Amino acid sequence: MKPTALPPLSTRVGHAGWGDNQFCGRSVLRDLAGRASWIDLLALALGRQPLRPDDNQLLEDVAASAMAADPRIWPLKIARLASSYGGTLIPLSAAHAWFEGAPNSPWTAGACAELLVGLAVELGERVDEPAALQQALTRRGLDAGKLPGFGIAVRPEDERVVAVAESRRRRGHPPGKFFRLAESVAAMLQPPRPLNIYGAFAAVSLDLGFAPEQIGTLTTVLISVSVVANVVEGAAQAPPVLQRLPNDRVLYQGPERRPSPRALSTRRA
Amino acid sequence: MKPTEHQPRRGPAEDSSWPEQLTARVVEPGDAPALHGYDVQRDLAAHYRFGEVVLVALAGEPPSEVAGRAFELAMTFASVITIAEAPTHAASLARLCGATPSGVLATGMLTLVEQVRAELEAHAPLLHWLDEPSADAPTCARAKHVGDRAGAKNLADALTRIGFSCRAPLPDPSVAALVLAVLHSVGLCRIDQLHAALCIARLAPLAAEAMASGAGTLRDYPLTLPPFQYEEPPA
Repeated sequence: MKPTALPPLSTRVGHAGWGDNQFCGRSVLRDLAGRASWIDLLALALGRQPLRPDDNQLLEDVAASAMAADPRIWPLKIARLASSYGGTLIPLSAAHAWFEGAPNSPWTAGACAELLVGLAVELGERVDEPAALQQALTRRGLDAGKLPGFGIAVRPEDERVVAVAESRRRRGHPPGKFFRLAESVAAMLQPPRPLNIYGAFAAVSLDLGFAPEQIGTLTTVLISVSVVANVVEGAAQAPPVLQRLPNDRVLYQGPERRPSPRALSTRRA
Repeated sequence: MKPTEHQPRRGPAEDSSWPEQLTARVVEPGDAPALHGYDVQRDLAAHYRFGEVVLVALAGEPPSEVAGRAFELAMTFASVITIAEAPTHAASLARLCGATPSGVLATGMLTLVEQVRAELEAHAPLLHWLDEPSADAPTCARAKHVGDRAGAKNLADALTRIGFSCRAPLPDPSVAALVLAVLHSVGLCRIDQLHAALCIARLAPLAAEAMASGAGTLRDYPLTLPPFQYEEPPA
């Protein structure tokens, strides 16, 4: 029997040729090797053109500012737990597997970008008017509760966002429309929820022309260095204490000990 | 200022208070571990089949004999996953590329959780209907083809033989819909419970098929199945 005919899947990502490969519309040999930066490749991978050198630098600055690699920080502890048996790449996958859709992960930058774009579209020319912004936030019910890209655990402000602002100041790179909008939103929120690093990624990336659906992935990749560092050190240490904590470090709060219905009926019989 | 031996670095972790213990809510650790309060070694192992223990874990309570059998029947029907499906295909391809068993399983399991997520999303109207049944069952629950209808009848017949009926009967269901209806009827009503159950059901066949693939025979793999067409992106 003739096998089912399958329609071809289109791809813009790559083609393996004889003597040269294509990557996102570029010849690796002619266009990329020795010419493209790592961020250029990332931009191409996300479906857009390479950035201008200044913009490349800005993204690198934000990525550098975002380094908070303390292994005690919740997401990085996952990297440490997964790598505690000495492996590297499966732990790296595990450390990223939960990001998609999780509010406390870099993926949330995409949700923040959608929020900022929605506000910008709604406000139009009035994007810099505080009263209009306040009305827009209230209308959307965003002035209370959790907002992607805003709020920071344990500390009053996100030192990584401070570092972003400082690096911009040093390079004389003024904030763009979306960064100003993000700062205005943060200034209005009560109770206070300062812009966090994922919100900063969202705003900077939008100002550089990335689309919201590209920004979750972009932020994840750029911030992954802190995960890599923890997985590498965690695998090298493979500490038994992370593989299994002592039982007395676990507080059991489930149901009390009880016999199952079949155990009870066996006893009665 | 750089810290000294007498002034270690300070930060939120050092200057805030934190609990000193993890909290367990299902598995009580210790020499006589318990699951939802039931002694695993002396009670569950003595009185329940493995499939039923899976249900105890997911639902929190031991099933009746009939509910336990129904769960095992549904899990058996749900376990069918072939190399034509992405999770086993990916795991087998990892094996072909020389992956270790943990690499093969990790590849297969990560793809499997995605497959099940997509399946549950596609059945969202059914899951809502199972929570609040009405006259009209959603169309996503209907059998898709003759083989699907026959498979659902096989499951329905097996359930009838053990005296089990779903809380809400589905007209002309697909195998997948009837499996979900059975799982829902035995107490797995939440997405996370269903997600876990379906992944557990498929893991063993996935692992077996993937491990049966040979390592290092790349030329035997159908590289162009399905075909891809490279297109230059617009300038």
